[in-house]
Amino acid sequence: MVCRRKYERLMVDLLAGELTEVETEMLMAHIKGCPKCAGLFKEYKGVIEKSKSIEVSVPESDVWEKKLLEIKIPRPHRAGIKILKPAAVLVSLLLLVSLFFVKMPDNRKDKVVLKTSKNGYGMVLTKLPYTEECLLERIDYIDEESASEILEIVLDTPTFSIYEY
Amino acid sequence: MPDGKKRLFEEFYKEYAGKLYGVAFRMVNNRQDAMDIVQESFIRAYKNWEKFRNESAVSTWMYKITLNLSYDFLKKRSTNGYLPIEKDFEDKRLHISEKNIIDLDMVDSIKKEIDNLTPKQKMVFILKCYEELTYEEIARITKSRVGTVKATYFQVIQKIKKNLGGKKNGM
Repeated sequence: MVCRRKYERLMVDLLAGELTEVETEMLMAHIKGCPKCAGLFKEYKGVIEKSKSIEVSVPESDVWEKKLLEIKIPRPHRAGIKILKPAAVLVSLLLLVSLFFVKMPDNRKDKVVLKTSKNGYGMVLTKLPYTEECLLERIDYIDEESASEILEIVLDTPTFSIYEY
Repeated sequence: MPDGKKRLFEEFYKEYAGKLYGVAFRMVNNRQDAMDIVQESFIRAYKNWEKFRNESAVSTWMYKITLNLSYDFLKKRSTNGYLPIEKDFEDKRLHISEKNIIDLDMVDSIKKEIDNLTPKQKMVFILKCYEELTYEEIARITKSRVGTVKATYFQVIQKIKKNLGGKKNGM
């Protein structure tokens, strides 16, 4: 059914009120002379008419009036939030800034100072804020022996003293 | 907000609250949820009211926000595995004679078909069939191309027609 393909979409567009006068005339002329398309058009018309007949019961106007009042009356917590928001931001900023001035305890003796190893591995160019034992704990999933070897490479010093206690 | 603007908001609310409720209800199929969606849409509109310049821009924006909220709601509901129980469509069985019962059965089937549409198909169908917006307006609201809207609407109507194949008595 070649004409069906050609006119089917146009039928739906016509029922949707989206066709121009010329397009409408052309389609209607075809439908008049083609019983199959006339039947199809009737079916589409039926589907759309029945769909349109499905109504929704909308709440009465007094319900909407109450709802409207709820919108216009500002919520009580809103005003508080308006003042609190900038205050909270300010406090957070102050806290962040103050963190830069907090002096870390200077127990350099206990800290591990990592160096670049000779063979190029374990290149760490910073001071760690934890002690040797802590560092060992952090890498103990390898196993203690390998860990001490790694430490020896990294620190370039024997790790014997670590196991003294 | 100046009094003039407030009055305009009230007028807009009175004109559109019911319409948007219809849209939201057809999307989510639940009275309370539809009410919440409409209320939330108007709260957002109230906050931005002074930015709007004309009614057409507001109505487009309102349809958009109502549909988006409904869409989000449907997505959330499908992840929670919740199925709507409440149906608040007008039941015309109370007002009509028995000979039209077949028609009503068909209407019930159409409701089921609409329920089974994807949220995006539902949006296009509702805006075209019930709100009678143009393809162009729908494209603006759904942020799609006119051709896509046209094709989606055709697919939906075709799908409903096909699935109602065995109930042609009323057509």
